Amino acid sequence: MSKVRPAKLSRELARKVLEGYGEVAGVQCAVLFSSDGFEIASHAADAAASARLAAIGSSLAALGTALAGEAGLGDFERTTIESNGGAVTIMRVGSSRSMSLAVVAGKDAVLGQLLWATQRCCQALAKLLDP
Amino acid sequence: MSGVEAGEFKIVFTGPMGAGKTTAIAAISEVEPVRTEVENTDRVAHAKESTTVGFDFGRITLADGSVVRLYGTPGQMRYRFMWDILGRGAAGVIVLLDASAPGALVQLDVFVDAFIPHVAHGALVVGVGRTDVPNAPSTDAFAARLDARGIVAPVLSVDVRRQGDVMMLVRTLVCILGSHTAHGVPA
Amino acid sequence: MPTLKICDVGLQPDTSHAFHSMLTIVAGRSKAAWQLAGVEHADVLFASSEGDGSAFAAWGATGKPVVLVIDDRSSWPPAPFVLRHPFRVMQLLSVLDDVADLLAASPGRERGDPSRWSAAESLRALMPQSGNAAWHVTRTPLGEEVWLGHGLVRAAARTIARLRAGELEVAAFHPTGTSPPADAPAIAACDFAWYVGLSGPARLAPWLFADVAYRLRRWPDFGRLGVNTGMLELCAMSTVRAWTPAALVEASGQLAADVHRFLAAASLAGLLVANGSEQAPALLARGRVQSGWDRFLGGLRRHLGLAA
Repeated sequence: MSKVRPAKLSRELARKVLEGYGEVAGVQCAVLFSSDGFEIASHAADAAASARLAAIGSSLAALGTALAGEAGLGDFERTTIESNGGAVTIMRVGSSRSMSLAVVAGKDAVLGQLLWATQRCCQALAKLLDP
Repeated sequence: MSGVEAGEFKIVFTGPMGAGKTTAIAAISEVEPVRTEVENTDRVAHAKESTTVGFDFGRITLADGSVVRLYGTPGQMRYRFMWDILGRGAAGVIVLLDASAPGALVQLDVFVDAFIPHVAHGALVVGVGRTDVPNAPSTDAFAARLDARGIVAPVLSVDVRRQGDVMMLVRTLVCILGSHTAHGVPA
Repeated sequence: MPTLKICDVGLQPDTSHAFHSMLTIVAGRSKAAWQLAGVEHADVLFASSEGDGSAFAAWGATGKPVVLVIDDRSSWPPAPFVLRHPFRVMQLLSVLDDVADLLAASPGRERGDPSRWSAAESLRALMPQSGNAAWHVTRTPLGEEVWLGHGLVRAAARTIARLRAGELEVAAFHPTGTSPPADAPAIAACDFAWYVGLSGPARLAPWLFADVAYRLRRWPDFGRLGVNTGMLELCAMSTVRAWTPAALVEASGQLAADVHRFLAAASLAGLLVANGSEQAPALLARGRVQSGWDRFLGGLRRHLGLAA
């Protein structure tokens, strides 16, 4: 299948960046996805789970964009879903709206650490996109 | 509990990618619809530039102040989870299809299966576009597909860019709801 | 005083104009109340001798009295009702009274006339085999040919337009060895059948029974056929459950004529079934009246321009 994808970002390089999450406490998996819900690269997630995360993540990012726009707050940056079992954070990669990153963490993760690591990861991915 | 008892009412527009759900809602909503369209990167599935990944939202306000909410779903299977979220509590569902798209008849099955559990009163209307494209199945072919499953639902050829056509779908849905209320045999 | 419907066909604009204004003058002075109507619903035709002789023959073939307007140079054969152009009000009144006398002397030729069902009856016989390769043909009162075969009906574009507008009356179809022009516009045979049913007489069609309950097995494609709110209501009601014709009139609050025509159209198009002849559709078991629903639906219906 040929997809219109950001040509500069190779799947392999992106996967390498995501591997950095192996050192962040409590992180269970991470998925980089296009704004229309396709997985681009993932870390520690099986194929089915990462495809679902990509789809739901893209809906949330789109709803976040719609909500921020509705409130006159500009562009969507990130959203975090917290539950008693842990947290999921969805963050936009770079300044384009073309992709976002979803990271799932258990309750042993520290939210501040998770957000900080995710922001760093997004910056690294953005550099790959637009060096 | 149904949405109506809670003082809410919604009509859901669904169907595969490119069938015109966003266009249909924009055609009849009295407010600028909320859209969640993003760039479509899967030009193999459909050539269009953008696609809905969250939902569309529009509304019609009635004379007594009550509001009909119009929701449009994403079309791709990977957004199946949104179908159930949006379908829950719907008073009626309008399935939009593009007759000229490959597998349009199978798509009918997919969306009817997904949404029939959500609608009481048999409130399902099918709108089919581009039936005039050569070799595209006719509305009769779609109706026969429903017949075979024992479902009696209107299948109407429409151009969702025309407000009148979209309103015809909504009117038909409302007539069905009204008939079931007035004349339906309680289950 | 009887009301009679009259239609002018093929008149020159000035003659037509004169006829229309004279018709308002004779109002109250004639033995009948004259009303303008389309060709299909007219009791009497008002035609000109100018133009094509075959068209006049076709009008004659409708069995309706024809008042013929001729001019001095005309060499037309004598017709029973003739006006010489330019005619005066008193001459028109005299001819119209003669026509009214004729119609009064032959009651029942209007709606009870079995020939008015002949097209529908022949269509009913042919519909199950309308997909066949053999062509059948019929004519409109204006002499336009309408062909049935291969699951299609072919006719001139203007003929189809009049059919959609409910202004076309055709005679019974008969077999033919010839074929329609290859480029003649076509519509689906079942769509044609729907229109024929809708433009039929106001009474219950002779093949339907007053004591049988009918329901829809499938909706017509209103996107293709065009729709009015009344028909939507009748379809919705007839998919919920089966109704006898009288019960459907009563419950819908619509005119008996409209309900009868709807039933004729649905049955000719193959969409109507007698109750019990097929398994009830699965969706119908779900209906359940909900509180708060009525008030809400009333509001929505008013918004959509449906009767509340």
